[in-house]
Amino acid sequence: MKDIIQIKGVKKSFENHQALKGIDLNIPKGSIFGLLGPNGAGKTTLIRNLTQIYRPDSGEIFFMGEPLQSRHIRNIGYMPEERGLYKKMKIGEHLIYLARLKGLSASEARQKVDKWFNHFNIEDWRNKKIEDLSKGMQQKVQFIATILHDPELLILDEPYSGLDPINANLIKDEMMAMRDKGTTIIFSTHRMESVEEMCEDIALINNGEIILHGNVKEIRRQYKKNLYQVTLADGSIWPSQLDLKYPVKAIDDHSYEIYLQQHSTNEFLADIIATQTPIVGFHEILPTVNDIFIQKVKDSNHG
Amino acid sequence: MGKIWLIIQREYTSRVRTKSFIISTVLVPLTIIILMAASIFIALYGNEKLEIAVKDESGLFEDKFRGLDQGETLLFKYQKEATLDQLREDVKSNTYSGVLYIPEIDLDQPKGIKYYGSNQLGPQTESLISSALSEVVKSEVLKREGYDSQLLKKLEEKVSFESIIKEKEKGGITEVSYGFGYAMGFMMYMFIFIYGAMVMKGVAEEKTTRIVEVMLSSIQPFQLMVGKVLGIGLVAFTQTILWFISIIGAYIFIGVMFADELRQYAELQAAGTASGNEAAILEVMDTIKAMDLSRITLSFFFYFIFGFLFYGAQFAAVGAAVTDDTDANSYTMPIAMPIIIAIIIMNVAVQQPGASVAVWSSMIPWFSPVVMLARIPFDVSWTEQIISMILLVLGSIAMLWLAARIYRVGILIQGQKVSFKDIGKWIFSKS
Repeated sequence: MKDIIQIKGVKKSFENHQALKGIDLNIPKGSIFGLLGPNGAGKTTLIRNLTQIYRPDSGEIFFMGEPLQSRHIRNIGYMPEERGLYKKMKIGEHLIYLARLKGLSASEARQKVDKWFNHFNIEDWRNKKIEDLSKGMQQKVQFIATILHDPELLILDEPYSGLDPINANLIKDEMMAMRDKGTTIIFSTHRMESVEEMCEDIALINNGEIILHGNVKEIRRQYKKNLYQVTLADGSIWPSQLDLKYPVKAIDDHSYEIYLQQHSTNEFLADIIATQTPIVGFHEILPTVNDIFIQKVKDSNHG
Repeated sequence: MGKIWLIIQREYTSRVRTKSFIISTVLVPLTIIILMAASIFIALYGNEKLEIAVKDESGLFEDKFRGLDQGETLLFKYQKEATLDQLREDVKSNTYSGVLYIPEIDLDQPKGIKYYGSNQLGPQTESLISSALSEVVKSEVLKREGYDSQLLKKLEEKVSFESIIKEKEKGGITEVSYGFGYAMGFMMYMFIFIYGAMVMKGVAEEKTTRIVEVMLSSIQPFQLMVGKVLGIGLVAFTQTILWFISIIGAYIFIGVMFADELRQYAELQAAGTASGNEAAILEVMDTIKAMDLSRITLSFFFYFIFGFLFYGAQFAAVGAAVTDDTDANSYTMPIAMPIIIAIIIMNVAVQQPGASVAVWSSMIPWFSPVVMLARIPFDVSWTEQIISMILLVLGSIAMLWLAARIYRVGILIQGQKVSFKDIGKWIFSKS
């Protein structure tokens, strides 16, 4: 089975608007999948359909090839954007409670909680109440609660919102470690930096529709604009005799962006070498996911 | 079902372990016990010892005050020898608390009776003396007119009658049923309000702490709602039973530990009012014995559970719909109104259990938990009760269904004002 999740023609409307207008999407197993989109695009609605908080009005969702149903709750871990814990509960009891609601037996749950207390070296938190913890500590507990039952699919909705940098890093490391162990991770965000760094695949959602999806590297290549960056040695000047043939834009003192449309890279390199200008670097400029994102959202809103 | 059970457990244990639960569970019976004990001890030892000399010039009252003595606290001394002036000196020197002076009196106009005391008499003692005086005067008047003085006793005889309801002899006195009915109805009313508000607060808290979405990825909204209502209902139930047990236990404890004091107290009480008080107490006991206590208890539990489901569901729906506490008040109005009306009807029901407003409203699920409970000690027919119970069960199911439809939408709504119109839309929106 290659795809852990298959979404086929899922639609969902509320009283005043259609939140999902027919989503088709496959999420490959064992990858980190980025679900991107501006606020109000339908990300959270789509995720709530995956976590069975909502049911699609029409269309189907498959988990490991089976129609999504209540027993799959056991296999999915979910950290919502709007998250919290019972403030008056002791941490140990709280984690066991959430794990048991996922379907673990009492002894399994206790064992897992012990394991994670050990892992994060927070054994002395067990009998503290949530309200006695600092915000950062609460975030850590929240994350443990999400992964406690070893889900095959982990869904994180805006995981970094409200997170301090230390916990953000910690969660990133844990996500990587879990991915390496075979867990599939879907994470939704409107912050792009993290996406390029972590995701193999992305889907871009806007106004309830998928407007772009696929492998991050392929997408960036697909949206490349034949722009290259040339870096010259210190103190050298750009050979202006090339300006006519190659459109150029200075990035800084000795880096230049050139646009190669009709000419190959080798032709350009031959030309510039002929001018005797000392070159220290040459590489292709691929668009960032952020650029593509903004471009696509603009296109789809106008189109 | 397993998951609902987990939720019930959490809702229950997290509340039963709180200080406020423990304090209120211990404090209420303790207060009742202390008040009870205090009233007995104050009655026994708190009264000042009164020793009253009676100086009777008319000679009509000899022997008439002997029966009025109350143990150690009130004593009458009929004085033949001493003069009034001597006795008044005795009052000054504290030999007596006071002197009751009765001059030669005209039976047609009995005037001139005086009390010389160092302190004001209490109202109870005053009325005791005055009724003893008038009784003597009355019987003297009768004697003068040539009637048998026993006639007075006969004239004062109270005539009671026996009620036969639906061809069944019903012994005892209605005041006892009244007390039982009123107490149960009122308790139901109190629990719906206190613990209903707790359900609402609990739901609203899940919403504001934002745990709810975490929860909903593991369970259905209906499970969460029902688990909460049942868990908190169980807390209320526990508290009732603990109160019940501790008050009964305290009765027994006081009865054993302070047996002597209680006997004295009973004598005091019996002496205080007209004779036949002991008979009245026995009659109360007989009435309680004659009541179908197991039916009353089981009915209480039944109406308690389903009444709480019926109203708890509504409080849960409101908790889910409101986004801030100030809203909550206006939304609880539609819930609170029927409970308050139920209490008004209950006041009629305990006085006229057969009144048609009482009968009909004990069929309606909004009122039956309070009104029917108040009527049951008066022997409601089984047909009536069974219809009422079936309607309450159906009503609770319908209310849970309705509340769940509001709950599942409302619980995920953050930070936007919700109107009654919105709630109406949620009920009819598809899941």
